[in-house]
Amino acid sequence: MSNNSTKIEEIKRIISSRTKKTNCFSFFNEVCEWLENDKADYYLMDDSIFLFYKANGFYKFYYYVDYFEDIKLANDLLEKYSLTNKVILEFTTKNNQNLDSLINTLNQSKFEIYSELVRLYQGRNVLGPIQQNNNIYELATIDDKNELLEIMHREFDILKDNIPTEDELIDLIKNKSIIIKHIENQIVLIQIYEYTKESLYSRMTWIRKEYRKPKYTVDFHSEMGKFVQDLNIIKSDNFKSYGWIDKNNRNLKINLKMGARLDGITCTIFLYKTNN
Amino acid sequence: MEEIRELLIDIRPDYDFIEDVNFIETGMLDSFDIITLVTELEEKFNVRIDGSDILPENFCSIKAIENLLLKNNGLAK
Repeated sequence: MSNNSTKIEEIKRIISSRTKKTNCFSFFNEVCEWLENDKADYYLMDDSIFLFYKANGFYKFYYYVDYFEDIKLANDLLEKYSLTNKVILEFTTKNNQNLDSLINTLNQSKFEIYSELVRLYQGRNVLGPIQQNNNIYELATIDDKNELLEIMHREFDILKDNIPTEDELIDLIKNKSIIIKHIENQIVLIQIYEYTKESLYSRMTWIRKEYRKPKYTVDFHSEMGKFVQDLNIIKSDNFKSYGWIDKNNRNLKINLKMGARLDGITCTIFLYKTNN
Repeated sequence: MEEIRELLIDIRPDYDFIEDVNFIETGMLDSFDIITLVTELEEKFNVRIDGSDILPENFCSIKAIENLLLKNNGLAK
Protein backbone atom coordinates (compact mmCIF):
# COMPACT_ATOMS: atom_id res chain seq x y z
CA MET A 1 0.00 0.00 0.00
CA SER A 2 1.45 3.38 -0.97
CA ASN A 3 1.99 6.21 1.49
CA ASN A 4 -0.91 8.09 -0.06
CA SER A 5 -3.23 5.11 0.26
CA THR A 6 -2.21 4.64 3.88
CA LYS A 7 -2.84 8.31 4.58
CA ILE A 8 -6.25 8.20 2.89
CA GLU A 9 -7.23 5.17 4.96
CA GLU A 10 -6.13 6.94 8.15
CA ILE A 11 -8.14 10.02 7.17
CA LYS A 12 -11.20 7.87 6.47
CA ARG A 13 -10.79 6.21 9.87
CA ILE A 14 -10.68 9.57 11.65
CA ILE A 15 -13.66 10.93 9.71
CA SER A 16 -15.59 7.76 10.40
CA SER A 17 -15.01 8.08 14.15
CA ARG A 18 -16.94 11.40 14.13
CA THR A 19 -15.10 12.75 17.16
CA LYS A 20 -13.94 15.91 15.41
CA LYS A 21 -15.48 19.31 14.93
CA THR A 22 -15.95 19.85 11.23
CA ASN A 23 -17.54 22.12 8.67
CA CYS A 24 -17.88 19.25 6.19
CA PHE A 25 -21.41 17.84 6.03
CA SER A 26 -21.08 15.75 2.93
CA PHE A 27 -21.95 12.08 2.97
CA PHE A 28 -19.08 9.76 3.90
CA ASN A 29 -18.98 8.20 0.43
CA GLU A 30 -18.72 11.65 -1.18
CA VAL A 31 -15.71 12.62 0.92
CA CYS A 32 -14.05 9.28 0.12
CA GLU A 33 -14.65 9.94 -3.56
CA TRP A 34 -12.96 13.37 -3.31
CA LEU A 35 -9.92 11.79 -1.71
CA GLU A 36 -9.63 8.89 -4.10
CA ASN A 37 -10.22 10.87 -7.28
CA ASP A 38 -8.06 13.90 -6.56
CA LYS A 39 -11.01 16.25 -6.16
CA ALA A 40 -9.51 17.57 -2.93
CA ASP A 41 -6.01 17.92 -1.54
CA TYR A 42 -5.75 16.43 1.93
CA TYR A 43 -3.44 16.95 4.90
CA LEU A 44 -3.17 15.07 8.17
CA MET A 45 -1.47 17.24 10.81
CA ASP A 46 -1.27 16.33 14.50
CA ASP A 47 -4.45 14.26 14.22
CA SER A 48 -6.29 17.12 12.53
CA ILE A 49 -7.45 16.83 8.92
CA PHE A 50 -7.58 19.67 6.42
CA LEU A 51 -9.10 19.39 2.96
CA PHE A 52 -8.88 21.82 0.07
CA TYR A 53 -11.76 20.94 -2.25
CA LYS A 54 -11.15 22.09 -5.83
CA ALA A 55 -14.29 24.07 -6.63
CA ASN A 56 -14.98 25.91 -9.88
CA GLY A 57 -12.19 28.54 -9.74
CA PHE A 58 -11.54 28.56 -6.00
CA TYR A 59 -10.90 26.28 -3.02
CA LYS A 60 -13.32 25.22 -0.31
CA PHE A 61 -11.46 24.61 2.92
CA TYR A 62 -12.71 21.90 5.30
CA TYR A 63 -11.37 21.04 8.73
CA TYR A 64 -11.71 18.12 11.15
CA VAL A 65 -10.25 19.25 14.47
CA ASP A 66 -10.60 18.57 18.21
CA TYR A 67 -10.77 22.27 19.04
CA PHE A 68 -11.47 25.26 16.81
CA GLU A 69 -8.06 26.67 17.77
CA ASP A 70 -6.44 23.76 15.92
CA ILE A 71 -7.54 25.34 12.64
CA LYS A 72 -4.47 27.54 12.96
CA LEU A 73 -2.36 24.45 12.21
CA ALA A 74 -3.42 25.03 8.62
CA ASN A 75 -2.17 28.61 8.49
CA ASP A 76 0.80 27.87 6.25
CA LEU A 77 -1.36 25.77 3.93
CA LEU A 78 -3.97 28.50 3.72
CA GLU A 79 -1.30 31.04 2.89
CA LYS A 80 0.11 28.79 0.18
CA TYR A 81 -3.24 27.94 -1.44
CA SER A 82 -4.44 31.54 -1.33
CA LEU A 83 -1.54 32.51 -3.58
CA THR A 84 -3.11 30.67 -6.51
CA ASN A 85 -6.86 30.89 -5.84
CA LYS A 86 -9.28 32.32 -3.37
CA VAL A 87 -10.01 30.10 -0.38
CA ILE A 88 -13.32 30.05 1.43
CA LEU A 89 -14.60 28.29 4.51
CA GLU A 90 -18.33 27.52 4.63
CA PHE A 91 -19.97 26.91 7.99
CA THR A 92 -23.52 25.57 7.98
CA THR A 93 -25.38 25.44 11.25
CA LYS A 94 -28.84 25.51 12.79
CA ASN A 95 -29.86 28.34 15.11
CA ASN A 96 -26.27 29.65 14.97
CA GLN A 97 -24.96 26.75 17.09
CA ASN A 98 -21.15 27.06 17.54
CA LEU A 99 -21.02 30.01 15.16
CA ASP A 100 -19.74 32.51 17.74
CA SER A 101 -16.96 30.14 18.83
CA LEU A 102 -15.85 29.66 15.25
CA ILE A 103 -15.96 33.38 14.52
CA ASN A 104 -13.81 34.06 17.60
CA THR A 105 -11.24 31.61 16.32
CA LEU A 106 -11.29 32.81 12.74
CA ASN A 107 -10.98 36.43 13.87
CA GLN A 108 -7.48 35.50 15.00
CA SER A 109 -6.61 34.26 11.54
CA LYS A 110 -6.99 35.89 8.16
CA PHE A 111 -10.56 34.79 7.55
CA GLU A 112 -13.27 37.41 7.36
CA ILE A 113 -17.02 37.02 6.92
CA TYR A 114 -17.80 37.28 3.23
CA SER A 115 -21.48 36.41 3.11
CA GLU A 116 -24.25 35.12 5.34
CA LEU A 117 -26.89 32.97 3.67
CA VAL A 118 -30.19 31.76 5.10
CA ARG A 119 -32.30 28.84 3.89
CA LEU A 120 -35.95 29.49 3.14
CA TYR A 121 -38.73 27.34 1.80
CA GLN A 122 -42.28 27.70 0.61
CA GLY A 123 -45.12 25.62 -0.77
CA ARG A 124 -46.63 26.35 -4.12
CA ASN A 125 -49.93 27.50 -2.61
CA VAL A 126 -48.41 30.72 -1.28
CA LEU A 127 -47.19 31.98 -4.60
CA GLY A 128 -48.69 35.33 -5.40
CA PRO A 129 -51.39 36.05 -7.95
CA ILE A 130 -50.49 35.50 -11.56
CA GLN A 131 -49.99 38.73 -13.41
CA GLN A 132 -50.94 38.86 -17.05
CA ASN A 133 -48.41 40.72 -19.14
CA ASN A 134 -46.47 40.34 -22.31
CA ASN A 135 -43.22 39.24 -20.77
CA ILE A 136 -42.50 35.66 -21.65
CA TYR A 137 -40.41 33.10 -19.83
CA GLU A 138 -38.43 30.61 -21.79
CA LEU A 139 -36.40 27.54 -21.09
CA ALA A 140 -32.79 28.25 -21.98
CA THR A 141 -31.50 26.36 -25.00
CA ILE A 142 -28.03 25.39 -26.14
CA ASP A 143 -28.07 28.52 -28.31
CA ASP A 144 -28.16 30.60 -25.10
CA LYS A 145 -25.13 28.83 -23.60
CA ASN A 146 -22.43 31.36 -24.48
CA GLU A 147 -24.51 34.36 -23.47
CA LEU A 148 -25.41 32.67 -20.19
CA LEU A 149 -21.78 31.88 -19.44
CA GLU A 150 -20.77 35.44 -20.27
CA ILE A 151 -23.43 36.91 -17.97
CA MET A 152 -22.69 34.46 -15.18
CA HIS A 153 -18.97 35.14 -15.17
CA ARG A 154 -19.54 38.89 -15.40
CA GLU A 155 -22.42 39.25 -12.95
CA PHE A 156 -22.46 36.26 -10.62
CA ASP A 157 -20.39 35.95 -7.48
CA ILE A 158 -18.01 33.05 -8.07
CA LEU A 159 -17.60 32.36 -4.35
CA LYS A 160 -21.24 32.00 -3.38
CA ASP A 161 -23.32 31.59 -6.53
CA ASN A 162 -22.26 28.06 -7.44
CA ILE A 163 -21.60 28.98 -11.07
CA PRO A 164 -21.95 25.92 -13.29
CA THR A 165 -19.08 24.76 -15.44
CA GLU A 166 -19.75 24.69 -19.19
CA ASP A 167 -20.46 20.95 -19.12
CA GLU A 168 -22.73 21.34 -16.13
CA LEU A 169 -24.53 24.22 -17.84
CA ILE A 170 -25.26 22.00 -20.85
CA ASP A 171 -26.71 19.35 -18.54
CA LEU A 172 -28.83 21.96 -16.73
CA ILE A 173 -30.19 23.21 -20.06
CA LYS A 174 -31.02 19.66 -21.14
CA ASN A 175 -32.78 19.07 -17.81
CA LYS A 176 -34.96 22.19 -18.34
CA SER A 177 -33.36 23.66 -15.22
CA ILE A 178 -32.60 27.12 -16.55
CA ILE A 179 -35.39 29.60 -17.08
CA ILE A 180 -34.68 32.96 -18.68
CA LYS A 181 -36.67 36.06 -19.42
CA HIS A 182 -36.08 38.60 -22.15
CA ILE A 183 -37.19 42.21 -22.05
CA GLU A 184 -36.37 44.33 -25.06
CA ASN A 185 -34.13 41.64 -26.51
CA GLN A 186 -31.88 41.28 -23.51
CA ILE A 187 -31.84 38.63 -20.81
CA VAL A 188 -33.08 40.26 -17.61
CA LEU A 189 -33.54 37.17 -15.49
CA ILE A 190 -31.79 33.84 -15.08
CA GLN A 191 -33.28 31.27 -12.75
CA ILE A 192 -31.50 27.97 -12.15
CA TYR A 193 -33.63 25.25 -10.59
CA GLU A 194 -32.76 21.70 -9.67
CA TYR A 195 -35.72 19.35 -9.62
CA THR A 196 -36.33 16.28 -7.53
CA LYS A 197 -39.53 14.28 -7.26
CA GLU A 198 -40.96 16.35 -4.43
CA SER A 199 -38.82 19.47 -4.28
CA LEU A 200 -37.76 22.41 -6.33
CA TYR A 201 -34.37 23.71 -5.31
CA SER A 202 -33.61 27.25 -6.38
CA ARG A 203 -29.89 27.17 -7.02
CA MET A 204 -29.57 30.72 -8.29
CA THR A 205 -31.66 33.71 -9.24
CA TRP A 206 -30.16 36.62 -11.12
CA ILE A 207 -32.06 39.73 -12.13
CA ARG A 208 -30.49 42.49 -14.23
CA LYS A 209 -29.65 45.45 -12.05
CA GLU A 210 -32.27 47.87 -13.39
CA TYR A 211 -35.02 45.33 -12.67
CA ARG A 212 -34.10 44.71 -9.04
CA LYS A 213 -37.15 46.49 -7.70
CA PRO A 214 -39.88 45.05 -5.49
CA LYS A 215 -42.52 45.29 -8.21
CA TYR A 216 -40.46 43.26 -10.67
CA THR A 217 -39.43 40.78 -8.00
CA VAL A 218 -43.03 40.03 -7.06
CA ASP A 219 -44.07 39.77 -10.70
CA PHE A 220 -41.13 37.53 -11.58
CA HIS A 221 -41.74 35.17 -8.70
CA SER A 222 -45.46 34.96 -9.33
CA GLU A 223 -45.14 34.39 -13.06
CA MET A 224 -42.25 32.00 -12.72
CA GLY A 225 -44.16 29.86 -10.23
CA LYS A 226 -46.91 29.46 -12.80
CA PHE A 227 -44.37 28.77 -15.54
CA VAL A 228 -42.75 25.99 -13.51
CA GLN A 229 -46.12 24.45 -12.68
CA ASP A 230 -47.01 24.41 -16.37
CA LEU A 231 -43.75 22.64 -17.21
CA ASN A 232 -45.17 19.74 -15.20
CA ILE A 233 -41.73 18.36 -14.42
CA ILE A 234 -42.51 17.78 -10.77
CA LYS A 235 -45.36 15.30 -10.60
CA SER A 236 -46.30 15.82 -6.97
CA ASP A 237 -49.13 18.22 -6.14
CA ASN A 238 -47.46 19.10 -2.86
CA PHE A 239 -43.94 19.93 -3.93
CA LYS A 240 -41.95 22.36 -1.80
CA SER A 241 -39.48 24.86 -3.09
CA TYR A 242 -36.46 25.96 -1.16
CA GLY A 243 -33.22 27.82 -1.67
CA TRP A 244 -30.56 30.00 -0.14
CA ILE A 245 -30.47 33.78 -0.12
CA ASP A 246 -28.06 36.33 1.28
CA LYS A 247 -29.57 37.66 4.48
CA ASN A 248 -28.74 41.20 3.36
CA ASN A 249 -30.53 40.79 0.04
CA ARG A 250 -33.67 42.92 0.18
CA ASN A 251 -35.50 40.30 -1.85
CA LEU A 252 -35.42 38.18 1.31
CA LYS A 253 -38.03 40.47 2.88
CA ILE A 254 -40.16 40.28 -0.24
CA ASN A 255 -39.92 36.50 -0.25
CA LEU A 256 -40.99 36.38 3.39
CA LYS A 257 -43.96 38.63 2.63
CA MET A 258 -44.92 36.23 -0.16
CA GLY A 259 -45.10 33.38 2.34
CA ALA A 260 -41.60 31.93 2.41
CA ARG A 261 -40.32 30.78 5.80
CA LEU A 262 -36.86 30.52 7.29
CA ASP A 263 -35.96 27.13 8.75
CA GLY A 264 -33.12 28.28 11.00
CA ILE A 265 -30.34 26.87 8.82
CA THR A 266 -27.66 29.39 7.94
CA CYS A 267 -24.44 29.21 5.97
CA THR A 268 -21.71 31.69 6.77
CA ILE A 269 -19.02 32.01 4.12
CA PHE A 270 -15.60 33.17 5.32
CA LEU A 271 -13.00 34.38 2.83
CA TYR A 272 -9.30 34.01 3.49
CA LYS A 273 -7.74 37.43 3.07
CA THR A 274 -4.69 37.74 0.89
CA ASN A 275 -2.15 40.48 0.46
CA ASN A 276 -2.72 40.53 -3.30
CA MET B 1 -41.20 4.20 13.59
CA GLU B 2 -43.34 7.08 14.83
CA GLU B 3 -40.50 8.44 16.98
CA ILE B 4 -38.25 8.52 13.95
CA ARG B 5 -40.90 10.33 11.94
CA GLU B 6 -41.30 12.92 14.71
CA LEU B 7 -37.56 13.58 14.66
CA LEU B 8 -37.67 13.99 10.89
CA ILE B 9 -40.52 16.47 11.13
CA ASP B 10 -38.60 18.43 13.78
CA ILE B 11 -35.74 18.78 11.31
CA ARG B 12 -37.81 19.44 8.17
CA PRO B 13 -41.25 20.62 9.31
CA ASP B 14 -42.24 21.35 5.73
CA TYR B 15 -42.70 17.61 5.07
CA ASP B 16 -44.84 14.99 6.81
CA PHE B 17 -42.63 11.99 5.91
CA ILE B 18 -45.68 9.78 5.37
CA GLU B 19 -45.32 9.04 1.68
CA ASP B 20 -43.32 6.03 0.59
CA VAL B 21 -40.63 7.98 -1.26
CA ASN B 22 -36.85 8.19 -1.14
CA PHE B 23 -36.11 11.07 1.27
CA ILE B 24 -32.72 11.78 -0.33
CA GLU B 25 -33.69 11.54 -3.99
CA THR B 26 -36.75 13.69 -3.40
CA GLY B 27 -34.69 16.41 -1.73
CA MET B 28 -36.60 16.10 1.55
CA LEU B 29 -33.32 15.61 3.41
CA ASP B 30 -29.88 16.90 2.48
CA SER B 31 -26.54 15.95 3.97
CA PHE B 32 -26.69 18.72 6.57
CA ASP B 33 -30.12 17.48 7.69
CA ILE B 34 -28.64 13.99 7.97
CA ILE B 35 -25.91 15.12 10.35
CA THR B 36 -28.52 16.90 12.45
CA LEU B 37 -30.65 13.76 12.39
CA VAL B 38 -27.71 11.54 13.38
CA THR B 39 -27.07 13.67 16.46
CA GLU B 40 -30.75 13.53 17.42
CA LEU B 41 -30.96 9.76 16.86
CA GLU B 42 -27.88 9.14 18.97
CA GLU B 43 -29.32 11.16 21.81
CA LYS B 44 -32.86 9.78 21.65
CA PHE B 45 -31.97 6.11 21.12
CA ASN B 46 -28.70 6.04 23.04
CA VAL B 47 -26.83 4.70 20.07
CA ARG B 48 -23.56 5.44 18.33
CA ILE B 49 -23.64 5.82 14.54
CA ASP B 50 -20.35 5.38 12.76
CA GLY B 51 -19.28 7.97 10.20
CA SER B 52 -18.93 5.28 7.56
CA ASP B 53 -22.67 4.64 7.96
CA ILE B 54 -23.51 8.20 6.99
CA LEU B 55 -24.52 7.16 3.51
CA PRO B 56 -27.62 8.16 1.53
CA GLU B 57 -29.03 4.62 1.50
CA ASN B 58 -29.18 4.53 5.31
CA PHE B 59 -31.43 7.58 5.49
CA CYS B 60 -33.64 7.22 2.40
CA SER B 61 -36.71 6.00 4.35
CA ILE B 62 -37.95 5.51 7.88
CA LYS B 63 -37.42 1.78 7.44
CA ALA B 64 -33.79 2.34 6.43
CA ILE B 65 -33.21 4.54 9.48
CA GLU B 66 -34.85 1.93 11.67
CA ASN B 67 -32.56 -0.76 10.24
CA LEU B 68 -29.55 1.44 10.93
CA LEU B 69 -30.63 1.82 14.54
CA LEU B 70 -31.25 -1.92 14.87
CA LYS B 71 -27.79 -2.63 13.47
CA ASN B 72 -26.38 -0.47 16.23
CA ASN B 73 -28.71 -1.86 18.91
CA GLY B 74 -30.47 1.44 19.12
CA LEU B 75 -34.05 0.20 19.27
CA ALA B 76 -33.66 -2.32 22.06
CA LYS B 77 -36.83 -2.49 24.15
